[in-house]
Amino acid sequence: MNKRTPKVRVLGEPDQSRLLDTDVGAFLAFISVVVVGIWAHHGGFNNLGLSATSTATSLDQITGLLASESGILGLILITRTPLLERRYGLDRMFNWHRILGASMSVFLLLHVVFSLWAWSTPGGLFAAVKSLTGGEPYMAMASVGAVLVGVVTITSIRSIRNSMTYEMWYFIHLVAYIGLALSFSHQITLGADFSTDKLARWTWVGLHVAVVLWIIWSRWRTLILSLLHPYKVSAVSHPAPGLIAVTLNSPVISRHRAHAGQFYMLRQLMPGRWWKTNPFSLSSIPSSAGLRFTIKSRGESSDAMTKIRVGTKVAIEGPYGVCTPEIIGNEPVLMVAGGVGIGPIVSLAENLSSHHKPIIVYRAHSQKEMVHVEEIDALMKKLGGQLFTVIGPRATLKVSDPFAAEVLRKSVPDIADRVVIVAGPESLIKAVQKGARKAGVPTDRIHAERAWW
Amino acid sequence: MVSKKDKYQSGQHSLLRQMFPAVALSALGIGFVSQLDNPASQIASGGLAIGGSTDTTIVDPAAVATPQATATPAAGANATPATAAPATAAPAADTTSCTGDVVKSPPANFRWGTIQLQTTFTPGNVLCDIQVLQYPNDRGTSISINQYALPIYIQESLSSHSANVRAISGATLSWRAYSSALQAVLDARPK
Repeated sequence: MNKRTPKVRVLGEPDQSRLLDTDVGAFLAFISVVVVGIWAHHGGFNNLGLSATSTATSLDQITGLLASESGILGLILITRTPLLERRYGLDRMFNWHRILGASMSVFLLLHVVFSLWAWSTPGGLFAAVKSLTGGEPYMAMASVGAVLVGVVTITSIRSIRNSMTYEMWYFIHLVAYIGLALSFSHQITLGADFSTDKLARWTWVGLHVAVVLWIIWSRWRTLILSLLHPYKVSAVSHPAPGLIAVTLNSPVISRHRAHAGQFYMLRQLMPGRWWKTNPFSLSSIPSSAGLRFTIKSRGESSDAMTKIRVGTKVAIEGPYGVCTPEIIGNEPVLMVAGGVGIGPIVSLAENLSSHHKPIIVYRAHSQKEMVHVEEIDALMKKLGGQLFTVIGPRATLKVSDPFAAEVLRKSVPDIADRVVIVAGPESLIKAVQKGARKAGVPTDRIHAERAWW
Repeated sequence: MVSKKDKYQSGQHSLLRQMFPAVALSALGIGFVSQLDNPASQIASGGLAIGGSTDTTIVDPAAVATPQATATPAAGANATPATAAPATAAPAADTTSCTGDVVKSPPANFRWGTIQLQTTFTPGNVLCDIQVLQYPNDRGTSISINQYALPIYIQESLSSHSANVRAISGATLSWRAYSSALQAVLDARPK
């Protein structure tokens, strides 16, 4: 065991984001006004419906611009800027990033189609392909870029993505950034919106440079710092078969700031593993005694984590996630945990006091799988709360849906007055969200933490 | 107890704080867009036709700016794209002299303005002359690009008797407008 510091101190809280929803809305509107404004001001609307060629030209311009806009917004999300992260959570940002990536692909496809259409007057489709893959300045680069984005899009289709490892998909998906970079020159030299309008051109260049600098500052810097100052595994225990509780510590942990309920991207610094990173939720309140993660053996990468030994260096990036005590405030709370979702729930519960009247529902497939039960029991006794367990496969349960509105209302009569937090697999989250909404909990008081095993 | 944190979480903000970014960014966005070059409005104020290609095109004499442009025949004669003007009624015996049909192309509108051509065919129906009736001449850049590129395109069309000419770097949009205008004329010719 690690030598304990005499006094265990709870870590400070990360700063709150000052950003409001309205700010994000205003920024989105702004960037869209700029992009559509450039196009419209250069006659985009007028050219629609003139000749077939000018319609196609106009459409190929606006789709190209919108593809770029989606790309830029997607890039802003991967900066993981605390401004957005502390407000919306990294899991949601990843989801938006995925949606923006998909919309970029759609706009890019339309852009290619409209460009071919526009260029095929008068020389025909073959001549259009020829000039668009090399004849026009920088189009060879842009074509390669489009192909790269296309490859990433195809590998991101769910069925194909599921057939490869996460890491393989991840590194293929990074190629999209090369694709974006390659496509930049043709926008400036060939795009009529930028090649002839100085203000538009320099604004566009400036926007891209700013985003690149932002990524370097916000993303690469934290990555490098995490590698330079890794944590070490200070304790390992096995609370249940197939489960491992890993505690990470660092000499400078007292300066680290984190909330209960947050998660980290962990990277074991050892040969063959250093390039893999996986999300794990805190399973106890973060303190100077270390950061504890309870990990279930599931999939190749978490298996690697379950074999981890004391002393292993681990680079940590985080904390991320907004499922923190802040969303509970001083309200009574109902927490639902499914499987390893109990980790973040425990770390949140440790932060509660008796006026939260906590009720925890713990859903697990078998008694064996359950962890931290004594810990929660003791905590609930202290706080005057309750712990319900729902154990066994669905078929063996007394009710067909343990999270149906009637069932919830019966076991938690005051559910409508409570903040609901659910952590676990997607199916459980969906079931609880549906049941709780029906039982009268406003949607904005139901918070979900995706399962980070 | 409402701490600053709770405040940020629960969305209790002054209307001013919520509105300020939207107002500021709107002003910035509108200011930005209004500062952009606007070929469309310049063309409109310059009196050039930017209607659909089936419009009756009244050629603005001011727009016929190329030195070699001939006098516009019967203004307003074009009700359909590529209407043959019955210029020489009497078919000459010589089928190769450049004295056949004179045909105006439909105006080809593009980002920077409009290109309209006037073509002449031999009595044997071979393209033998192309004049530029209008091209974007409201901006210095447009003038220099088109005065450089259009003669080259015309030269190439006349030698190949087709609209299929090679684009010149930097004059791609003019190339597309020129080609589509000429193609429209050629398509409308009897074979």
